[in-house]
Amino acid sequence: MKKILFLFLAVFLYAKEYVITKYLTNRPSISVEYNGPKEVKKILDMDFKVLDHFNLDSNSSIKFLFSYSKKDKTLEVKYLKNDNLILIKKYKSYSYAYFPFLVHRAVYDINEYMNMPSAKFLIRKVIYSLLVAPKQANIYLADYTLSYKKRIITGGLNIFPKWANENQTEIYFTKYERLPVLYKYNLLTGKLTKILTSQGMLIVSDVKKDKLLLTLALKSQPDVYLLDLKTKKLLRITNYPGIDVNGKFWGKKVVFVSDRYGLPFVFSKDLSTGKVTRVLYHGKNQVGVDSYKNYLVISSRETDNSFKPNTFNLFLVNSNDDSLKRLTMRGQNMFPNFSVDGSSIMFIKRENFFSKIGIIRLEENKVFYYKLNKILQSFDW
Amino acid sequence: MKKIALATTLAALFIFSGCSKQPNLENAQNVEATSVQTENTVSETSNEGITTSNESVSTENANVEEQTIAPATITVSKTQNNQQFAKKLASIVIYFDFDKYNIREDQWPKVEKLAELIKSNPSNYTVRIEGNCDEWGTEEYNYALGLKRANSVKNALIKLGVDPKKLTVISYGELNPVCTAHAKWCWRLNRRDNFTYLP
Repeated sequence: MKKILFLFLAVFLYAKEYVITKYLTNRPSISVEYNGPKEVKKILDMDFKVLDHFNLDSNSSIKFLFSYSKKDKTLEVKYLKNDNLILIKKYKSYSYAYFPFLVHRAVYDINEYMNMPSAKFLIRKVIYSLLVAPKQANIYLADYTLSYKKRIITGGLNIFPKWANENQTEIYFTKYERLPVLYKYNLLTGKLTKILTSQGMLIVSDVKKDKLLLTLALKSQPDVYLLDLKTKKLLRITNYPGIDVNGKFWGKKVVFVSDRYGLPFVFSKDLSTGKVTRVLYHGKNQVGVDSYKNYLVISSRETDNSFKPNTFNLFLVNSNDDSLKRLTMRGQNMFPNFSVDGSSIMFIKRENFFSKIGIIRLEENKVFYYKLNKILQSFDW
Repeated sequence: MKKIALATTLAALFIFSGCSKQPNLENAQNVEATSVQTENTVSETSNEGITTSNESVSTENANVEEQTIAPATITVSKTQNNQQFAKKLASIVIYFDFDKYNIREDQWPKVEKLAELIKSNPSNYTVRIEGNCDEWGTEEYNYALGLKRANSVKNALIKLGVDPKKLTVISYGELNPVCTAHAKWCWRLNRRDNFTYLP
């Protein structure tokens, strides 16, 4: 395994880039026209740009006429082919502020209508925690551009929100009371359910139906645990006396970040054999990891400065063929987070005093950035 | 023919839009393109969220709600005697090196002073050891690092004769900064353990 990874790393280093994703070669041409407020147009433009599935050509026979009425809070989309009206879709919200979701849904529907690869990331909601004062962090709901913002949980420290279900109606989050407490919160009903309490730290790292991977410190020692909410059984996955955190489901394995080699690196543990293996032999340390099916994305520090900005780059590991792909080239690229369909990776790029949100479109082999005027504590989408 | 189709379209549009009952956002999918249809898609209602929910939109990603981070406040007990003890506890701060959780040699006198202080007060209380980190790395590892920093001092205090029952640990990660400048001297101040009196 090690040798194979080294080999692929070598291939990558010499070839600069080892491409394992497919390019979208034949992008259909469509024409998009819009009438309405400028800020709605901005979201519309961004959606088509990040989606990157279409050639926008005003002469195309396939036309989509968008119009947004601020008064009615309604977005209307007319589908035209050779100037014949095929379909009209209307999207309405109760508040004006919600318009980014209407635009995302409309673009998502056009993508489906044109039979293009799924782009679920457009309509996924983002949940994030933001530090507003020392020991005060709120949880917000947003669209993927973070243009829409709604405060969901306030009061004290509310951190590490994670979506609890596929249709994004419930979240898990940690609230610091006298001890850290794990709650489940229903966004539609407002129901708050206490799940677990632990001293030290308590974080939901990954959710797979009724099973949660937690970082817990029941005896002051941070370890990865598997909590089955159906059976209420708590299983300890790691037991190294240093730091073991950030567990993610990865097929029959669980990956996690551990400092068992002195510095933090990503390891995997086979749940049937118990065998622990280091996953990626690259970089000075690796603190961020996320998984999707057989893929892993890892943030790896490639420089060794204690105080100057270090270079963190993202790498994509495929367990099926042990391939490795560099996803970013420079800067501080951290907190990688796969989209629900695995087609995209959202991450944070830090540049001195600023941050950007990056979205990697794996199939299209492109990265898009947009400004982020705040430092997020954590996010999930 | 086109005119008839258009008339049908408009009639259908009128009927459909008039009858629609505002379905959920999820209902917006699976629309067949065989005939002209209209569809009303309604966003989730504003009851999505807790009572304090607050909705806004900004296409500039402007953050209007973020506040300037003020110096940390320290929880103190209500009774005066305990307040004094809490203040003494809070005045002790133990600092750590970058990415490390072992107690530095120059910090040991403070740990010893802390042990004496706790041992001198036999009443029933808990000292919460709060591990903190600098802003470098806000992922889970940083929280674990804060916890290990708290544990280092906890273990040292136990070795110095402090009753383990009096000690509890928590990690604030980077969530409790005393300094928010992007500078070396500032990050150094944030890599620390604080001590809070819990009655």
